Amino acid sequence: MTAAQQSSRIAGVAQRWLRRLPAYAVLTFCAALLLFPLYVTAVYSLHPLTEFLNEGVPSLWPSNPQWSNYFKSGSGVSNTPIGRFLFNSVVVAVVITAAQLVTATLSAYAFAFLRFPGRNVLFVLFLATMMVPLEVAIIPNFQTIQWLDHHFRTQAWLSWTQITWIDGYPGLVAPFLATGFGTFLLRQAFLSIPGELRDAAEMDGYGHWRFLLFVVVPLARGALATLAIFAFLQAWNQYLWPLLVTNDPDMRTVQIGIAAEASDVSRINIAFAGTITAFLPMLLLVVVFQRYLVRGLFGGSVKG
Amino acid sequence: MARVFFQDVTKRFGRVFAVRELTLEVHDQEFFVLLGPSGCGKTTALRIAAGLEEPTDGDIYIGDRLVNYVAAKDRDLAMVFQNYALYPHMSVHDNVAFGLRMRQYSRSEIDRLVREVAETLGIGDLLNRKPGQLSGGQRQRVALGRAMVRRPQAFLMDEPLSNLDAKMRVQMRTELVRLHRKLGATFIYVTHDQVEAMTMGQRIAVLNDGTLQQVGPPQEVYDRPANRFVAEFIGSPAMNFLEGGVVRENDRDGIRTPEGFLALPDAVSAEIRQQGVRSFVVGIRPEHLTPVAEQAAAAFEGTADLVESLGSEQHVTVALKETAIVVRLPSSPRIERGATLRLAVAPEHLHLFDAETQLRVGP
Repeated sequence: MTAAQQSSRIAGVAQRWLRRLPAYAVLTFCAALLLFPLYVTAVYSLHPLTEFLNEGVPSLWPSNPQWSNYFKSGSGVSNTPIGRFLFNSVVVAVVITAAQLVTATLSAYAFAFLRFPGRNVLFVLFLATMMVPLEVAIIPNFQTIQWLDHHFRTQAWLSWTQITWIDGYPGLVAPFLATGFGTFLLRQAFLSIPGELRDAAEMDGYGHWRFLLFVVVPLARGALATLAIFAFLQAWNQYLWPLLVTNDPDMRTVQIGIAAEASDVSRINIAFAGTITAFLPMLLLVVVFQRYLVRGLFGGSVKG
Repeated sequence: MARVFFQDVTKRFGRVFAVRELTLEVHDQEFFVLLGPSGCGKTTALRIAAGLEEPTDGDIYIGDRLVNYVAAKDRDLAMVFQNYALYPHMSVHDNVAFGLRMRQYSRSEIDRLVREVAETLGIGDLLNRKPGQLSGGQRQRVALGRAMVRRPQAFLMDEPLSNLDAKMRVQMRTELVRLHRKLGATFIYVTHDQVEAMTMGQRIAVLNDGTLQQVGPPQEVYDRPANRFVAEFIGSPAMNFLEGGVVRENDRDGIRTPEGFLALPDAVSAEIRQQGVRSFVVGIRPEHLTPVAEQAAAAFEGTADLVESLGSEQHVTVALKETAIVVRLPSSPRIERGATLRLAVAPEHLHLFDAETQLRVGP
């Protein structure tokens, strides 16, 4: 390669970069905007308490990092360790995720593969539940749980089960075991499976259950992963509902625990540390499964 | 015995009739083709035989057994689908073995059967591949293998070649015929492609609008179409049609069409008199029109409007006074656009249809 060729090549590369520069500048700015609160939280989680008691805004640089903040995390009121909150959150999120996968798979299968009267009307009703915000349903949901709690405590034929709804996992997970969104998401994925596969399986002697298990689930694993991530994220980040149905600090989820901590000014830096701790599992989940997040949402429209 | 018998089978979806009072017997070990345009009910008929659809009315027999209430898997039939319907997440081996798994075969037996079928179809070296890594022809073979491995009494095929390219289709056509001979099973083959029907079927049934039009060996259906629909549907280029009434000219019975006089064979005219039909549609196949030199011998005269040369032959659209007809001629001499053509047709090559009922008249 001659020197002239080489220099023209370099010029070409430089030009390409120059053309991309404005786009990158905008993207960098947006990313910075989004990441700034996270950065502030991370820095604050390392500050000593004195930093917050001084006049003015706390520093945006951890000049004196206190890693011990992360080990002191726990409710200032009850001395419940943050580990307990995390454990509760994991139990709640895992149960909700698993239940949604099962219920959504079954209902989506019915909508996608079975012919029955009223199918479309029923599906629209499922969709309609997606339009109802959590806040609207929260009072009736709470009343239901309260009613259940009351009966499980007072009726002899129920009380032997020892199920507690208020201040118990059943109450925390019950309203979220099945969702219209999950049904909708999986139905769309199942509809992309050709009907001929169902016919072929039927000729081969596979009934609905086996077809679901051996063909539909493996083929829709992208959509199933997407639903799992969404369900887990949503369950993990819940605030209002767990606040309502738990009074016992031992049954609180991590978001409530941190909020309780933050309300105590003398533990504000520890609350920030708790926030980061609660955030890490989500970060990990999203990083590992992010391809499913995007692919799942566009799975129906862009076939690849 | 794997005779498949449809008796007065009707299938309705809501108010739409997909199949109407279909009575049809497919003989044991026959290569039988259901032919018709899309939406004619041929696939529905096949699915009813398979047990994937329930007939609204009528009975289905396989052998001598009434199977209306027998589940698809217990009918001892295998189906090959238009889009192959392979399970994309399974290897070729597992796709072929899938049906055996449900039938209590041992692992080694499944393996042996799969290999045997794979060898027959020449896909032995593809067993570990996924369907996505195969070409259309290979996928088609896997789909066939999946059907064959269970050794069913009858194979139901729903346009299995329509997704292949033209060359592959021709090759698979002969392979399927060979396979049929080798397996000695009943084949019911659904297609909209008349070439497939003509070349592969021992007998064909033509359907339109859910109603059976004609059943018979391909040549018979071609030579003596039972009605105007069959006449038009089978044959490429399609048959030419002219309307006209019976007249007697120069001591001969014939049809007077706006384009010319067509003499009829004596046997036909005798029959027409007997039946009392007055107005007709005359059908003439493009290959039965021959150019003649003198005007007296010609039935039609017109100018060549469009010449399609296929190399081995040429299709000439000839503009007549009111309509146009297509003529199939040898490639030489080459016809130039605008040339005047005088065309004659032998009386025995006229197809007569009653203009009212559209049914064939005469022998």
